[in-house]
Amino acid sequence: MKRLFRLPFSRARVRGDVDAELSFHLQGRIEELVAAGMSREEAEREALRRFGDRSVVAQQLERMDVRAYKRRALGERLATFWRDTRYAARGLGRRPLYALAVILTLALGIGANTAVFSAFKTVLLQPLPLPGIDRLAVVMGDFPLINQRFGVSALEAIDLFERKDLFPTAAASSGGAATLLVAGEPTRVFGASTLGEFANVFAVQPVLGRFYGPEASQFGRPAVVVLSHQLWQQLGGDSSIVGQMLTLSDKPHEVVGVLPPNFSYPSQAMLWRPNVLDSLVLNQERSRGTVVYRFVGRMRDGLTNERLRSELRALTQRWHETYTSNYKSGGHMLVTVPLVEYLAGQLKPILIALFAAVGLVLLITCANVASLQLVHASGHTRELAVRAALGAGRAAIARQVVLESALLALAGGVSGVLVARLGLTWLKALDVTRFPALKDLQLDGSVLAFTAATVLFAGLLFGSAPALRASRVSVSDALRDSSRGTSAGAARHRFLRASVVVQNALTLVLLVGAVLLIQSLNRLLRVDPGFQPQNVVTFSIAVTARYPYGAARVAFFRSLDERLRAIPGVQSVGFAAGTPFSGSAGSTSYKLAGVPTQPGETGRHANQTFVFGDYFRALGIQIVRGRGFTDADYASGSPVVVVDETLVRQSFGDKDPIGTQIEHGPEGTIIGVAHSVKLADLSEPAHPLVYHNFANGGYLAGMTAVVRSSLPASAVIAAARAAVKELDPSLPVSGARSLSERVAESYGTRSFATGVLSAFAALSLVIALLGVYALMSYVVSTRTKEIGIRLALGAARTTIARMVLIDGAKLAAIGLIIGVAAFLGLGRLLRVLLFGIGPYDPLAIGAAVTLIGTITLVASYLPARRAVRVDPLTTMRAE
Amino acid sequence: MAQDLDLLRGTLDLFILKTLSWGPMHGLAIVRWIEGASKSLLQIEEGALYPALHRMEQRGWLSAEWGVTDNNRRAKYYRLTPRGRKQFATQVSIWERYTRMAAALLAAREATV
Repeated sequence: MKRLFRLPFSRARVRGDVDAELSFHLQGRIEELVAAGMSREEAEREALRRFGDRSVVAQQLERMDVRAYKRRALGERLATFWRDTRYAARGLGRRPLYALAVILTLALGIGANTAVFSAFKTVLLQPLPLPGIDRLAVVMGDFPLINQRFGVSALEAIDLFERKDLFPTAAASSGGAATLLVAGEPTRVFGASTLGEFANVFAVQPVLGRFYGPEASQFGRPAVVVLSHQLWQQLGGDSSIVGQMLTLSDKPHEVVGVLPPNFSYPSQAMLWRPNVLDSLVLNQERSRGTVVYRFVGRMRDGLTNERLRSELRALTQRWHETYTSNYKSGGHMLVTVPLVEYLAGQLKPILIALFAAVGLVLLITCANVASLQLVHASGHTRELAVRAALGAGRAAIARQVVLESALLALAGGVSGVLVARLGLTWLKALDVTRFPALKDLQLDGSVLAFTAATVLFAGLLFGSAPALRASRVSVSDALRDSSRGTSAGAARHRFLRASVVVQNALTLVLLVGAVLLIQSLNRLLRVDPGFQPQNVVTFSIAVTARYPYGAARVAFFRSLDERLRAIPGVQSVGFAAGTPFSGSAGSTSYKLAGVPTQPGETGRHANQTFVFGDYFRALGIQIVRGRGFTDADYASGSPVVVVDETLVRQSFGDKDPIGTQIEHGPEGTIIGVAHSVKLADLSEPAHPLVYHNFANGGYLAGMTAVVRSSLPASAVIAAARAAVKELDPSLPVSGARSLSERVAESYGTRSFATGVLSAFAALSLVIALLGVYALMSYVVSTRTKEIGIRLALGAARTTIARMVLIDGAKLAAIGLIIGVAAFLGLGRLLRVLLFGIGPYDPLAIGAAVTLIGTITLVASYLPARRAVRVDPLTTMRAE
Repeated sequence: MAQDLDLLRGTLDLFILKTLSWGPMHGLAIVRWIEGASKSLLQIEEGALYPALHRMEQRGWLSAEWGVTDNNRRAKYYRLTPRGRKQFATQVSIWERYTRMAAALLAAREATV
């Protein structure tokens, strides 16, 4: 039913109406009865008797009427909304290409934001499913001299456990791999060896059994183990496993519990065992130097990070005074990092950069869609004006324009979720081994809420300007003529120009970022790793207690070396604890006999690795002076070492190091100098490295084998496995991979980020190009008449073309200047991601400016050419 | 009597529709007309009339507007809408079928099974 006008709804009005209706009834009855001869009182009583309970009836009516009113109002509003939506959809349907282009760009922008937010949330907001994760702090030892951070020692952790005023609950863990039989195969499984209240700190509830308490670390307690859900499944997934004995590296352990599938701390841990501390560790002051424990504590409520930091500083100070022999000058200090940040590691700056990039892309998209919508709206200014003249409210007109934008945003959002799902599969592939949190990436409720917010934000951003403009259409202007040359037209031009400037500026920021990252990656790829990773396979092998410390281990590796070399196609074989990109090297201080400190030498600290076999040849590390190890060195266990060029440069300067005695853990005579190698990352700064003779004090259980051959990696791996099995079927081979793959993996995250950022920059460039083109075409089309008149009055065609081009160039210049200024402000955020290039590299900025400037000029040239082809007569007649 | 009332409630709508088929009326006039037409045999509880009127208005059978009576009082007048008229016709035919059926049933004199 159409209502011309309606009084506003109010409960009081409804009540008044009901009251009036009922009063009229009763009053009429009373008068009737009085007229029939009753007294006034009698008549009133009789009327009420006939009526029944007035107040009950009144209340009932009021309730009915209010409800009916509300239902009707809602129905009408929905009907209007639905009608307007249909209008808007029909409007878009009339230009399907435009709608499709807008929806696609929005889908990319929104999808990218959703995917990156999902990663952001998983990695930086909630990396572990545990309440109050933001109150967990990691405490580490910082070694200022070598600018490296390690963990803390067991004794330090125990001291920290006492500090209930800082951490009411705390735990420490160190890596603890174990060999066990999984499905009949000896398998190396990564695990954690814990101290303190591990289960309490991480609030982890076993799905089966229990988690052991802190007392399990006391000497003499039975050996127990808690399994990860995954390992439990691999072992058969039988719930009777709790209470069974499991042999870990030759030693029986009782399984006491199984953890839920989503718990993984330390990342990739498959089993947790109490770290048993014997008197040897507890009573030796020097065990304070074994800083291999990751300490995590739950901060006491109200304890601030600043306070924690100063307390830790004071504690370290006391240690330095008490244990003078262990904390010599340059000894480590305790530092603290939030657990979330610790877990995020390198991913944090990458995710922040990606988030910023996708945000910029979305802004550019919105600016672009806003101008397209505006240009389109100007196309039917007349239609809107007619509707306004016929009485459609400004609000109604604005609503239609807003609804059109809302539909676009909605369609963009829905397709954006699809784009995001694709994006997530890429992100998951990013680097799950190093960032296991990534494998849990998903589009859950909070991510979708973020998408909804993004859609709303984008819709408002690109919908509000055209809507405001549309609602301000001047009826008389629009009806008299089109809006050309009117004030509304001028305002629209201003908005479009501003939008082009903004798009240029934002695109520049993205583009400079992309250029810098590409440059960094290029420089990184040109870094000499110091070895030749091609055609090399590495794998880890850990001997068990059956090969005791010393000669038996050397003998084992000697026979393994022989067997590996016997594989046809294998060129050279070597072993080391701590090989580049395949394992971690230890680090300790060294002393040189009779070599004075060099100018600029801050401290003598070097990475340490023990090698066996033809290690330097297998890896392709050049011996630049002296010689490498020989079989005779291994056979006699002679105390000889090879140092790298970095150490020589740092401690010897120009002097010859050969023959010098060095004490670096084991003592030895320097017999050779090797070319420096990168150990874990191509971007790492050079750090001294000392190669020790494995037969002289190394004897480590875990070694990495390096096999150089002409065979494909898979063939080498299969042959190597067979060789190990022949030698001892109980020994596991783990982490067998080609070394080139490992090196590539080390910059995988960086190249992924570079790729994504470049793709976004290219996308923005295209969007911005279209924006400029659309604007200049529009400007030219509105000025056709003016151009026609000028031409008729004798203006040269080149002058007209120059006019249009200069217009475009001016906008580009303003945009680029703002963009450069914005980049100068934001660029330092990129610094951590860059390698070999600063954020303010003039070449990169210049390249980006030139590219965008050229593209803007080309985009304005096409409309300019059209402008000069204007036939004066046609245009003037057209009006 | 109680039975009388039950029967009445089911048919109140029908009586209101019948009453208004003569033309727009306010609530009191409707009561008076029903009284008059039933020769005072039917005395309804007057308060019950109004919820019925409002409900029928909300269903779209009646429309209501405020008007002024002969002696210058504001009163709410109800009139039949086209839908109300159709509803009246339907209800009358149902009612007639029902009474015919009831009459035939009550007049039956022998078991014919």
